[in-house]
Amino acid sequence: MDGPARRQKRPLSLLELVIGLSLTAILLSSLFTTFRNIAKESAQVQRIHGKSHEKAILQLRLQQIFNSLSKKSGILLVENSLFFFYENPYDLETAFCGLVKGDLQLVGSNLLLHFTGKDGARREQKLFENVSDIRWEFYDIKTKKWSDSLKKKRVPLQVKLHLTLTDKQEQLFIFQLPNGGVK
Amino acid sequence: MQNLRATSPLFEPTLKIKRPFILLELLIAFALVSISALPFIRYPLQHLRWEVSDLYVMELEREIDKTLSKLQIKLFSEPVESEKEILLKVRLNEEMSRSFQGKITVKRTGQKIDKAGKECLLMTAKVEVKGPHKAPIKTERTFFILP
Repeated sequence: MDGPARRQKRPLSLLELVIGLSLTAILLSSLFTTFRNIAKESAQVQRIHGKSHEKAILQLRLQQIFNSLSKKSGILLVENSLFFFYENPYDLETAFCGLVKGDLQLVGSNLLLHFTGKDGARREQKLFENVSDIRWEFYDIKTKKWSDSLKKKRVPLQVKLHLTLTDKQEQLFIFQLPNGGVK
Repeated sequence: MQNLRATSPLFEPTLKIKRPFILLELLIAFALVSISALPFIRYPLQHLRWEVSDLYVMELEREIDKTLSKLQIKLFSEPVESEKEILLKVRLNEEMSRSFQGKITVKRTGQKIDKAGKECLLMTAKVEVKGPHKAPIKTERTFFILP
């Protein structure tokens, strides 16, 4: 071969074009399916993420309070608002250490937890949003029944909190009281 | 040197032939592209799945807590003699629409005399539920069943 490099120029055949197109189509369709799945899962996570965390925080926070209720004062229900005294073992602010007065009430569409510490110091914590109604139930160990009202000088065994959300969904929370049934 | 290049067959200029890709080469290229694209797809999806499973676990723990509260009330009227196994089916809310199975083992672990001299029973409930993760969710709760 003494001439310059030989170059073969020929167009793509139909078969090659079809194979190339089908491979691209397979790749694109699999990518599309995967991204659609990701978007779907992401939407699901977004939807349930906030609510689940809100529910878990409410459950943990209130259970923590009910676990350390003051044995002397207990809890009091006044028009759907729950008032209580509890022993707070530690807090960043000294005003809220020791015996703290608290109440849980529905303000607007928010379920708020208020604390009153020493020297009238106040603190507010938002527990749940988009609540339209709350209802309490107390299990009395003597009568062995759930009741809407609290028996005087009797700590209930369990407390149920029914939340009606603005989207008409019902949420139920149950709390156990360690001194339940004890006078 | 130039003469040598011209005469020796070893220094003959290479013959360049442009030939089309064969199907095997095309398939190999396609496979390589797909493999390299995999991590970009796999990890976000896996991360989301982990997040969803964690949310399931969180809800499941709350539902188990509710079940244990109901069990506590039931134990007041029907105390367990020695040991009892209860099958458990936990159904999560409509949004999650999944159910998990497990069991509760209730055992009488002892008794205690209270200040008034009355005997109260000590019951331990062990819960084991197969959750979204490989390891099952385990909880234990002790109840004082007052007379």
